[in-house]
Amino acid sequence: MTAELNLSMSNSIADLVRLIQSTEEFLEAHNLPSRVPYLVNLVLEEVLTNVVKYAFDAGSVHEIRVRVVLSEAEVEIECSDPGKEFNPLALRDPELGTSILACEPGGLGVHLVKKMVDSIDYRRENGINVLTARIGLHRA
Amino acid sequence: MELKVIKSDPRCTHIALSGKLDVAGEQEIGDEFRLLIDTRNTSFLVDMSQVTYLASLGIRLLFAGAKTLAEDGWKLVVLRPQPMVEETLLNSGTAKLIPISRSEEEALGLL
Repeated sequence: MTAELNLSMSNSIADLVRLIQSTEEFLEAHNLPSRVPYLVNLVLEEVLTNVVKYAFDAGSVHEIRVRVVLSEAEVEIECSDPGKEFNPLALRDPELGTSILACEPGGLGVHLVKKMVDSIDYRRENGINVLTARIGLHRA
Repeated sequence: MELKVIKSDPRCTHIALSGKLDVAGEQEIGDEFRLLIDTRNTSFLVDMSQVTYLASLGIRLLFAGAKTLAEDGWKLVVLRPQPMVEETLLNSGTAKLIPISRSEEEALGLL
């Protein structure tokens, strides 16, 4: 059994909030373990917040696409944007240090996604950044 | 997202957060949280037992609060996060710098 959701948004945080809400509603209908919608929300928020903030010139409006595919074994989330070429997986992991006073928590979002999903990959295709994350439905 | 002050004494302010600490949630309570941190002159116990979601924006809010408190010798302790929120705190490395506690008594002992 496979179910698929295709959505698009403009490069704004307000649209991102609406897209996440629509995705939550789609997932709610499928009775998934609670960690799955949590992780899908995390992927969308962290990846697409970066796209909205950094992928385009200020004031320009662009379409970002999201495809969520639910199969028996996993949820696959694919985010595509026509912004500046950027591979978030190439970012160095943040170093928080050993003291709260010295801590500079930048770059946490992508780091979290990389650690918490089962797999993630990036490609640049015909001027489009494509990031794909997969979350297994059955964990020991 | 909601923020409530549960109780306060000269040593500790106990607040409770509830809801999703996402982009929208941070906008709803961020200013109030920062104001409390800046003005209370105590350590903070942040009860997250009713927080259903935490992302990097919320983590940065906690870090900024803990850092501000540490500059004056105070501490911030997170109390009773839900399993996925705790997993987020652990995977982000937050738990190495901001203690997580299972009970109020344990948390007060960490302050």
